[in-house]
Amino acid sequence: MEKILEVKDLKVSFKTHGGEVQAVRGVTFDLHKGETLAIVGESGSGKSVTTKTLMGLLPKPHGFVKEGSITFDNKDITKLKESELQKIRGKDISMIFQDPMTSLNPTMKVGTQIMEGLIKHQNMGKAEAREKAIELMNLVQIPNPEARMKQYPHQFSGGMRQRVVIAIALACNPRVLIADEPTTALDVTIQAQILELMKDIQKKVDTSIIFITHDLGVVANVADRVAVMYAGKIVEIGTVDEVFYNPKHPYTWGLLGSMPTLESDEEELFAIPGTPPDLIAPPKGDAFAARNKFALEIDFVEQPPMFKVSDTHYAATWLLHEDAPKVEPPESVKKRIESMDHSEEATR
Amino acid sequence: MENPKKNVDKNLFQLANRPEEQGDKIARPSTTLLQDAFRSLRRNVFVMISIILLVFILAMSIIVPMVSDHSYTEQDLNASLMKPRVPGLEKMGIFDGKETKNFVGNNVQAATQKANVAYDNASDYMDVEVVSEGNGSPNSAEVKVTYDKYGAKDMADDYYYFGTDRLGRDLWVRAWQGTRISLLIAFVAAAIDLAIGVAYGGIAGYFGGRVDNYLMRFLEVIVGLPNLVVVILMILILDPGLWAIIIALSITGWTSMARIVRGEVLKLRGQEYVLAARTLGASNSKIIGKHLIPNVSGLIIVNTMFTIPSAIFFEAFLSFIGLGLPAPDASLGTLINDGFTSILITPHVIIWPAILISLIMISFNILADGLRDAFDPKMRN
Amino acid sequence: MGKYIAQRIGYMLITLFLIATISFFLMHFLPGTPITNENKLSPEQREIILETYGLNDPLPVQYVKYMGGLVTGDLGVSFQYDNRGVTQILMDRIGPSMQLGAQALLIGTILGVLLGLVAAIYHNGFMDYTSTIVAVLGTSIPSFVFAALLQYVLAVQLGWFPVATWEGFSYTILPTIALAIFPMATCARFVRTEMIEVLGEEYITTARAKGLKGSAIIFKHGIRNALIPLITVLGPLAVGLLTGTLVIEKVFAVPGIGQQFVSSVTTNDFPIIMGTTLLFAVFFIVMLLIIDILYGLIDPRIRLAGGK
Repeated sequence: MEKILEVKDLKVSFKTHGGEVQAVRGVTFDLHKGETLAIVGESGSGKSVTTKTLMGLLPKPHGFVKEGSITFDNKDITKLKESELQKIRGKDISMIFQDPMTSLNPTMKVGTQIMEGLIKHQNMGKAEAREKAIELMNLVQIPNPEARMKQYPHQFSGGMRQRVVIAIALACNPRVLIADEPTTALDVTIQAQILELMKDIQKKVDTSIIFITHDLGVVANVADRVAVMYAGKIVEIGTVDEVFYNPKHPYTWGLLGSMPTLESDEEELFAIPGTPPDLIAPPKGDAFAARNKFALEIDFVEQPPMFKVSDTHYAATWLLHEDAPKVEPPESVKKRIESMDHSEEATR
Repeated sequence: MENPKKNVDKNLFQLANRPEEQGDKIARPSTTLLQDAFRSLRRNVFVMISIILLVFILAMSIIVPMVSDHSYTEQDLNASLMKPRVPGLEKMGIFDGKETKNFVGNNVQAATQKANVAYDNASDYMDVEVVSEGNGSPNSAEVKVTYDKYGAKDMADDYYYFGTDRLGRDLWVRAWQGTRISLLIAFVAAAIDLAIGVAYGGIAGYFGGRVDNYLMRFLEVIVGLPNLVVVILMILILDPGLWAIIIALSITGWTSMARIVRGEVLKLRGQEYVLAARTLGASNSKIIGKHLIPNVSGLIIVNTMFTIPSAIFFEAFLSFIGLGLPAPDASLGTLINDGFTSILITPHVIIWPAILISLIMISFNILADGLRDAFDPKMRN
Repeated sequence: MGKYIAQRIGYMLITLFLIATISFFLMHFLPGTPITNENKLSPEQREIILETYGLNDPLPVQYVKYMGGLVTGDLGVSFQYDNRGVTQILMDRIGPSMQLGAQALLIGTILGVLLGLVAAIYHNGFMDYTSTIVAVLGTSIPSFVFAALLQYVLAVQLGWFPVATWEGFSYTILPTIALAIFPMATCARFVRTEMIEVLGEEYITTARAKGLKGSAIIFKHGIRNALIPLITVLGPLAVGLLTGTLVIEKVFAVPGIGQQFVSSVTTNDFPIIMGTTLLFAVFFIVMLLIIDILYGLIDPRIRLAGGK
């Protein structure tokens, strides 16, 4: 498969009064053409910072890339000047934001906001951009686009606004679309509609999507591959089937185990104790060790490298080392995986 | 991404079984909102300078009128409009109490004669320096005369640090007495605003519903009245004096505090922890005292800090347009007003109260700004 | 919208009525009138004067007469200037006051907005600190201190400008600057805070994500959103201008309403004091109304919500 984006050993830090926060501590992944890669993790795991870096949208001057590269079109995005980034943003890589209530300018007409990118990147005139904007609004299924163009964001419902945000992101047929928790701020029923819409659109426009979420249900629904992030690192990456049905990292076990399902009334949820580490002074060994029931002594001494499980499946845990004791996922997580299997089959 | 075959100590590959609580370590010591605010305030250099300045000014305003030789009302027409004279500094040629002025005439004698007339013929205390000899034509000669008024008036041992006014009152004492009165008016007015505003806003916010509705209707009526107009009317109908100004300032001043407190209490009242306290049977007074007041206190402090300088300004403003304290009382405003009438001839009369009021206003505003930033949770890190 | 404005004007008239009534009765319970203070007058003379000014009528009659006069724009007769109507006196003096106020408001807001915007765009830079210092000084130093300083240094010592009075444009410069300081500082402070907040908003990130240039983001997305709330400070600005006119007209001997008011205060000329007070009240309340309407017109969110 053709690689469209290559992230290598990316490290991003923020300067704060308390010290340097190491938000991303060495992230490596590839994005293939036409695929949907989901990045999951709890808040503060560095998933949003990673994607902000892809867009060159780190808040300056506090946020900066310490190390690593992001290769797109044979160019390293982390080395580009602001003016060069502006040519990529919105054209080749674009972004859908979390909260549609705040991500649209309240005092500008919705149509104008969609047209802005078109006029900037595609050298369109006003009239042409208007045509295209109406087309886009049809694509994201906003009824009555001609009239809606002239309205302001507050006249739209949350779901409709998110459609506008998607239309803005899709305006210039981007090759990479980053969706930063696009459904988190929406009602459950609206969430489903937006997810359906995104799947639909991907089929039509054939773009690669990076989908950030903390909701594993959403991942199962939309993604081809999954990267699980914890404390600024990818701890497990693989296809959806591999990560969901054959998880290797205890943190992934925890994530799967703490996800409630319809059948979860009998079994207890497998909760992950404690809180993520302070990234101003990250622990010496595995950042997850202190919360990990299955932590080995070495986890407190040295960070685990990525162990290969299959050609597409890797996990950063010492449990995969040949000397490590054989550890099985906890019973409740196993059951969960099995039940997921069944429910998946049932829906198919 | 090959599986690394590094040589690692095999003994390390055993389950660690460390206690789980490790993950719950609290990274930083917990601090209360107030502690946090004051800690970030201490780091603000400008705020610290302002506080030191304000403490100094306050101390001087209390001490100087008590220990000084002259009282602030004591008149001495013989010592009218003396220039500032400060021991020590006078040797450096500044604040030596001497007046310097140029006189012109047809020739040097005529010019000097004019100076003699102006300075009561006290030629022993005049130091004449010829600027231009002149050629006999009108006003071509010019002399620069430095006049030692303290010596001429037989007051060589007297020192008026800020000089004297037209009635020979010691401006040093009057300036600090004026500061004292201005601060007193501001503190009392701010305290009244605080008491009424917090009570009113607290009741409206806490009880909500119909109580809130009525109280806010009434408040809106008061806010609709231009406060400049109300203050002036109140000053006119009350006997002029300290209390007239305080009452006039308070009568409209409390509304902003009431609005702010009401808004905040209304917000806090709906929060889970207050509901929880209520479910557990806490009384109204306990909820107000234990939960609401501590959480509103930051806002109240900040707002009060903004009230004080605006009260100082309003007092000075009223005095300046002739609605202030009656003579011989002094406030910074009346002093500035007095000084303004003679600004062209004796600028030293207006300068000190003007500097003092500016310093006080700037310091209070910086302090209030600093406090607001310190209490603003958005700014916390 | 029309109904809303009508309602607001109704409230406005009620407020004015209340202010007029309250100030009328307050004035008449005052300890001294200028006539009682004039000890030189014989009882007969005093009687004649009281009769001329209608001060012998029962209070309710005086009240009705006064309010009747108000409706027709008649604010009574001045004690100080024989037989001159208060309305006439105020009309004669309103020109300089309005010119001064308008010039100061215009210059003050424009400079203040620019200063605030620059400060926010170069947040934590040199311009930011400069603007902050200007704002703190401008809101802290009382206008009359500033006016006296300007007058002493620029007019008396350096002789660049006329010292006082009102005889041409050059005479308006110093009072305008003195009066403009407060609106400038207030605007600079307010716009800076608003703009910093707006630039941190999510929709600015959206605009950046579209690939727009920095200048396009600031002009098309930033400034409009930062300036809309500026309307809310117009109220305090109006009050600041009123208090400012009183003292600055005094300092620079501008023959305006403020100076008249200050001199009437010293001579207890109640009809003028009341007339001016009412004029101030009208100005203040009309400003509040304009602010409300403007807000509705400019902000699309309110335009729709209040538009029915």
